[in-house]
Amino acid sequence: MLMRIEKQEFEEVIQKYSDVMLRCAFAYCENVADAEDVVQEAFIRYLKKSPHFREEEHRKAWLLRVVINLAKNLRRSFWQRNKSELSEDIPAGDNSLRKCEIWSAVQALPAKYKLVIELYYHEGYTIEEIAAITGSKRSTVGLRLTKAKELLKNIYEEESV
Amino acid sequence: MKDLEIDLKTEYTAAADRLIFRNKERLLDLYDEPVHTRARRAGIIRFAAIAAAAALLLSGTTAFAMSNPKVMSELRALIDRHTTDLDITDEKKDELEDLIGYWHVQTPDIASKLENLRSNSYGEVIGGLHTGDLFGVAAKDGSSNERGYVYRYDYGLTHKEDLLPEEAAAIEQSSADILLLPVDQKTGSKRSWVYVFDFEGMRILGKYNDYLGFVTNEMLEDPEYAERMPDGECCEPYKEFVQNRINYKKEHGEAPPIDKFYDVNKVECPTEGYDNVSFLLCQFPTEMDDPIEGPQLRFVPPVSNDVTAVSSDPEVFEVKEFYFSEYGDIHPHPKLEGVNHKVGTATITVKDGGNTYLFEFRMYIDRNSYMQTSTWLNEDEYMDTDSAKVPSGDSGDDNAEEDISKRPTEGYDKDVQLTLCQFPIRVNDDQTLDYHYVPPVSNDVTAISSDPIRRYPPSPKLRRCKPQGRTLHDHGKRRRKRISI
Repeated sequence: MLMRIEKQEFEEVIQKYSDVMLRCAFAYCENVADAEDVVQEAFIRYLKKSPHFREEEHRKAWLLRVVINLAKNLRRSFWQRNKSELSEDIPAGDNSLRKCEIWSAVQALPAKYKLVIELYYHEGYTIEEIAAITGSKRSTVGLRLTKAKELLKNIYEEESV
Repeated sequence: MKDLEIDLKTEYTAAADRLIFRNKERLLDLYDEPVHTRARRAGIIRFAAIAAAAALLLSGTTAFAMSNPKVMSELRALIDRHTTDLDITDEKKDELEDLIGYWHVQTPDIASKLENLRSNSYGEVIGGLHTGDLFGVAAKDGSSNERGYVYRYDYGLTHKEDLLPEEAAAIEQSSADILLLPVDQKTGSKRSWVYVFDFEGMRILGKYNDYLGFVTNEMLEDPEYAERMPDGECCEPYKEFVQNRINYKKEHGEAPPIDKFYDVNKVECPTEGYDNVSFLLCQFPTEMDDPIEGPQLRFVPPVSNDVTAVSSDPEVFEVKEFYFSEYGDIHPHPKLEGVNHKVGTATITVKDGGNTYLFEFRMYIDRNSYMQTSTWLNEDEYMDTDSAKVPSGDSGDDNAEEDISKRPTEGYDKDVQLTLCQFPIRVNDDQTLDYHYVPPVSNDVTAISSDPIRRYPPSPKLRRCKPQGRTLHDHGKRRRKRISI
């Protein structure tokens, strides 16, 4: 295996990005175990590929992009599409997430909206950066963000009614 | 909307912060562990799970077992158990094998259950599943003995109980990734076809209508091999063939040429009216979108007279150009006994929307002059920015980070299979190739003839291999309609 990445560097990358990668994967996988597998696979790719990046942001974007691709693959796999649902949408023992209204509302959105919400609000990416990461057009990301907020608003209104 | 914005920026982010990767040490372990070991283990686990599910489907026990929470939870529990450590021990392999065996239930009503899985018009292969790691196929041999097999050999996961010991040994030696033996050995019914699949590449490496590919030199050392072959009228030609080879070996001290005793007139194959003509059915299984409707295939019209491309991409893309850039030398296939292997590099230009991508593929030729070529978007090709060709018109900047938004993954992802099938039917003495393209038989099946005259599909009657108790009319009824463009 081509191993150009130093172990210390690898550890730093894990510490730095594994959580955000997990959250992006979670937007598609909807269960933590699968999301963790996706993250793990992304790091395997990272080790195998040992890509060189000029800027740290590129590294992060690369990792997120790979995670998104892998998560999409997982979701589209025959296995995933034909299995029965297991109620494992949040980490075991962390019921506080379920109780968070806005969190639950976001989780009810389609994956593409969840991802935009996560990257925009939580990770603080701009729309252009999200477009680069997701491989979408800037306008598409903007539309998804707007649509996501509309959907969330509807959810809010329905719940208040 | 204002409150929502605030909630998203505060409450949502606070909640999301609690979603963290639970065991980062596990990730760090990746550094020290050989990646291929990890991937291999993951492949086994994935295979076990998928194979089990597929076997359930194929077995007909319950076509919708995968929607059964109990089944799923059992599978899930097993997978979880195997994810706790990283070693691939023999015991673990055995356990996985047992798992597959456990789910691999044979039931008498498999035929009726599999009707909906019918995937070609020939009747040998009547069902197929393909996921990223599994090609499970149910097959029948024209009699009432239908069996479903899900095989994978590269990890030693297989069911050999239905094989003769010699066959099992030969298969082991061949290292073929998947073998499908559509025959009921126990009743000695006709072994009509043997398919050899390349698991990883989704290639049909060969289709043998006799034992040509599997009568190994080692078998020939055993004079009683032929006698132990299954009884039955249909097996006689094979027995004779094998016996002839054994005798030849005794007399000459070496194995005969692979086609020395090959007599098409004694082999039950659709060669009627073709003389010594290779006739190849090329099927393109792809991911099954619907367990009832079967594989959803998208046929792409032939690129040229000798190349057909098939895509599972729901948005059929256009194959613009195809050319060989290099031919390799013909040499024995590393995996398959009696199969010549010729690796060439070719390039196909595929147009997807406004983007054009290039892919490479390899080709294989067997000594019987069958040939299969295919290409697929493997993980590395599509995930790696370097190996995946960027759309034409790109600036050429090969910095990986620059290519992130330009990778040819949009609309393809991993599930998409692009299969190229090229059919040079005959390898001439001077090692040149003759091509005879036959238009597709159906949307997912292309038939190829080596007959220089008969360049079109034979009549259904000729295409049928020894109909038994079923009329062609019946057969046609069961054929599902395919999506075509």
